[in-house]
Amino acid sequence: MDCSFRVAKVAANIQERAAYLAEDVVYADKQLVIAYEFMPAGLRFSGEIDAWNVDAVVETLARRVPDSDLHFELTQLTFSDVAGIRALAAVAWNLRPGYRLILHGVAPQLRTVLNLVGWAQVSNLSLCECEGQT
Amino acid sequence: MSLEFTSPSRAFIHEALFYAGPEGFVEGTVPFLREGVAGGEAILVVESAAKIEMLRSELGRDAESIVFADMAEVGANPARIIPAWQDFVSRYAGSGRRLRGIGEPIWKGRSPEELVECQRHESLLNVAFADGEPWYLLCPYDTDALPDDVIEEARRSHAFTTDGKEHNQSTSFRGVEESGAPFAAPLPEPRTQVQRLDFSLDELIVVRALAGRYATAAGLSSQRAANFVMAVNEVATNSLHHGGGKGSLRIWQEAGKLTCEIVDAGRYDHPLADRERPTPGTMGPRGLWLCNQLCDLLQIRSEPSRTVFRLHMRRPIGQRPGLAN
Repeated sequence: MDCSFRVAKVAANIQERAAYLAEDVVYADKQLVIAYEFMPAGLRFSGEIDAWNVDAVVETLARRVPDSDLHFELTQLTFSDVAGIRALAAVAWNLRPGYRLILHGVAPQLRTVLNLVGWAQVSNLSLCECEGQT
Repeated sequence: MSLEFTSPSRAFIHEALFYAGPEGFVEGTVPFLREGVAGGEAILVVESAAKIEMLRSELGRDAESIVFADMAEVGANPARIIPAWQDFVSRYAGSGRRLRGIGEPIWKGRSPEELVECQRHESLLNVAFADGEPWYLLCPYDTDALPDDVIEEARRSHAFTTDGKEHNQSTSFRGVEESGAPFAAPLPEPRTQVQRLDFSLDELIVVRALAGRYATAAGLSSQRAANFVMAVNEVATNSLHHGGGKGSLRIWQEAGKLTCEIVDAGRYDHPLADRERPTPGTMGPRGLWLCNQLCDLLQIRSEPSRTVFRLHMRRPIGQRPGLAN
């Protein structure tokens, strides 16, 4: 069974990224790294969000509410369950009025779920048309 | 004439129309629709494309005020039909207009799994609309094409039956309460090799890897494979939260479909949980509702000490079972 291989591969890639970006990392575990993006201000997600780490993601995202638009780079987010997608969308709900959360590199799967549950219509959440990876 | 909304206890009229062949279909449905048009009612018809064409040509200008939807799209997964009717009913709630609909979810050619879920759907309609707005739903059954046991089950899932002329209370109707009782119809054992995996929180990532590997081997497109992985992950997550923190997975592919089964120790006692659309603006949705949007079929069986979930994806025609290793 090559499942353990895939798990190891995900972990190796994540750790490599984490080491490279050590000073920017706001959260890291065996399957996910969240790092600062500075230009423009936001966060970059690499890896996978599921029930194993979603509580930590929610806690990390709740730590600060910026006084500006916020950008999430999701190209390297290879999986998120519904609770994880909800955690991302909730950031938009919690922004101060007039500011937006812009999602970049949204994989088709994430887009599908955001549309199905109606979160894509949240007024201060924008989906950039830039390509995500499947 | 159709039944009147006179019985105070019955706000929702759920009636089976037993017809024979295309002529019988037209004779049984067209007067029902004309009556609704004449009364200024809001009308939704969910039928096959061929039957919609038939009705349009028969009704002429009377078809203009009727909304038609293709059952092959709305009801490909029968668990998506109740949300569609709920949308229809809530759109006109409080408008003062009466509502009527025609929906034919069961036809010859439904797979055995789809058929049993369509029959479950017919029963759940009684639960979904028991206490809501009054409206009239007519469900045609083709007695020429369908076996007797399907017709018998229609008598149990509908409070009323008609042949297009006379209307009768169905003496074998199982009642609203029994319609929502835990569903435990047996599921057939797979007749092929299965892969098993017992999982808890730490193995979720392995669950997804396994589902993804099978989806690719089964020839699903990348979008449908991703849908399948997402759905399997949601059901597994449901087991972690509500099924005792762990579950047992089996996955297998057959000529026409890919199936993933998850069994957990939870009690599933909310019969509409997998078909209630999340309300806009809520942090909502239920993972099981999403599974029905992402997969071709979700079967749920509530047994006294365990719950069984089976997710099905149809495989592209011409695909032989491939090796998933």
